[in-house]
Amino acid sequence: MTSMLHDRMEAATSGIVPGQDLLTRARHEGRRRLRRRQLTTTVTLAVVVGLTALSADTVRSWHSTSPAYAMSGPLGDGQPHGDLAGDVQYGAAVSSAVVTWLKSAQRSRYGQPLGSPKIVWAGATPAGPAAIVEQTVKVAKRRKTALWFVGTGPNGPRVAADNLDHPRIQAWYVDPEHRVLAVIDDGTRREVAFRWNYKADGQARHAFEPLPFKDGVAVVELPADVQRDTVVVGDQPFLSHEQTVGIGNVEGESPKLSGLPWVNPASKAETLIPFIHTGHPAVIEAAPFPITQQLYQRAMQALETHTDEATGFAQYPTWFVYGTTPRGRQVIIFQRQLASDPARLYALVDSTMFDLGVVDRADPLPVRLHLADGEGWVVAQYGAALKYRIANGPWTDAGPDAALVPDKATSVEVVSPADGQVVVLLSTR
Amino acid sequence: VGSRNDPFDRFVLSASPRLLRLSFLLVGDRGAAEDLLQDVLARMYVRWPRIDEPEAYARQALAHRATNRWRSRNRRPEVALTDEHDVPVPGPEPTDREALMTALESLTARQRSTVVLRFFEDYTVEQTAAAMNCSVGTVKSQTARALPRLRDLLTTEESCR
Repeated sequence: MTSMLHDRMEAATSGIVPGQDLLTRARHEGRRRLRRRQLTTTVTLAVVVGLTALSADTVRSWHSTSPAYAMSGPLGDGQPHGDLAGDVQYGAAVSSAVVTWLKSAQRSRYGQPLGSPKIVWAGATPAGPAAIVEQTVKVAKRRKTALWFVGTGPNGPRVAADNLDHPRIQAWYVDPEHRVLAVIDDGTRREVAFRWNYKADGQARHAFEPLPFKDGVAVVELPADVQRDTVVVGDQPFLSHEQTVGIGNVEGESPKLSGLPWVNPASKAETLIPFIHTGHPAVIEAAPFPITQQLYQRAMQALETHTDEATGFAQYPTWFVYGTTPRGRQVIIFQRQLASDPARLYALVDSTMFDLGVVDRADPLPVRLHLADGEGWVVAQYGAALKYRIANGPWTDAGPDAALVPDKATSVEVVSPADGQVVVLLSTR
Repeated sequence: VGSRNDPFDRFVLSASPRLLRLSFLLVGDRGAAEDLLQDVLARMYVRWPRIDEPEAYARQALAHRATNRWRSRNRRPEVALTDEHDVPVPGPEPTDREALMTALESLTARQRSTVVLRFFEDYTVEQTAAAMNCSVGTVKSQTARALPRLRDLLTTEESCR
């Protein structure tokens, strides 16, 4: 019963991954609590030491206003912007949509609306009209001013997102299909990147490009081949994930995992797959350099230094093919998936990273790394029995799962439950 | 300024997938699970310099807050913001997940936390007691009450297929 329960709980949660901005939200909320705590401490101390000069009015004003977002940039002049700013009919529909939203089931979270919604931008987009509305609400006895982002819905304007809790949310998808993105111009250099760019040396970076701002907002359509979870809006120069601009109506992305599902059933931690030396009788076995934590840290450190700071979903290494070559090079091979991009294989040879390309689950021998200086090939298929041969010579046993075979090896025989017996030719691709 | 080299960020990036799964099993709702995890991570951010074992701390905090969640439920109802926020969770057949979640829902909050910690996280009785801040005897009794109920519900569900 208990193992069945464990398996069912594992299966029931197998596709659940954190939202794109969990780290950003956790840090933001953590910092807010930290500031509140520090402020509370300061105020308490002030009271204790008798600093009663702090007037009642000051205390009241501190408590009474807590703006979630201070408007800056072109939209901060208090005037309505955009080519639909003067459209009374659309303005009325937008205000109605926001008021309806505020009075919906979320009222306890959004509190009591104070005053009327104020449209700060309204404009046409390829997906239909869109708007930004500033509204003050009273939440837990405090006034908060925030932005409501309005897009298109089946029955007219529809609130797509707000930034009441997260002021860094300053972009939203106008359409329900999430193909038309609108971004606020807050006066800083703000750009968009649609996809990750992968390079042979293991670098994975976003290529940012300018946004076409007009009247305080930029509207862009996602290229047809772009998945929305690879899109990043960031303030430039983009040095930290904190410069990511939140896209309000994208949360909880759960991309399909495309990596190799190499899981050791006996361990829930990382799966360790040492490669065995074959054809190098002088070296009996791999030097015992790696333990799990070291492998993980080395792989993570290599990935981090080769990847930009845009946060988002990433499946980090869960298995490692590893070992030491006859010349003492330490080799680690692992996979990583960013957003809904295909999982990729990486090799770390000593301190040098290599991008081995997209993981091919259908490949009977998905891991093949040709080492320099004639040290051979690292090959792996978890769960398979491996053999190799040179030209038409005899087959030599290479053990299970992973092996370092001689540089002159021309083919590897893979016997696995999934593929049966398959012969794979080795060639320097 | 945070970065992937920041210990807190590294912890969140590496541990949050597993912690979210734990949170989901504890509360049974994707949105509520992420809210709960975010809340715990924010608390950890404040206390970070004093936390020795972040993962253990996070699990304990998740279990504790999930067990006591009813206290704050009336302050912040957990309903989807819009249908746009209803992200389908990929994974096994929905019926499998629904059956399990329905069975877990039938337990008390404390029984549920006990079962999830013991059989999802593979905690020992002693570890579970420490995480839940209760006695070993309580963990045993909660487990003894929960397992027959789960067995009945899950067995019935399988026989109905």
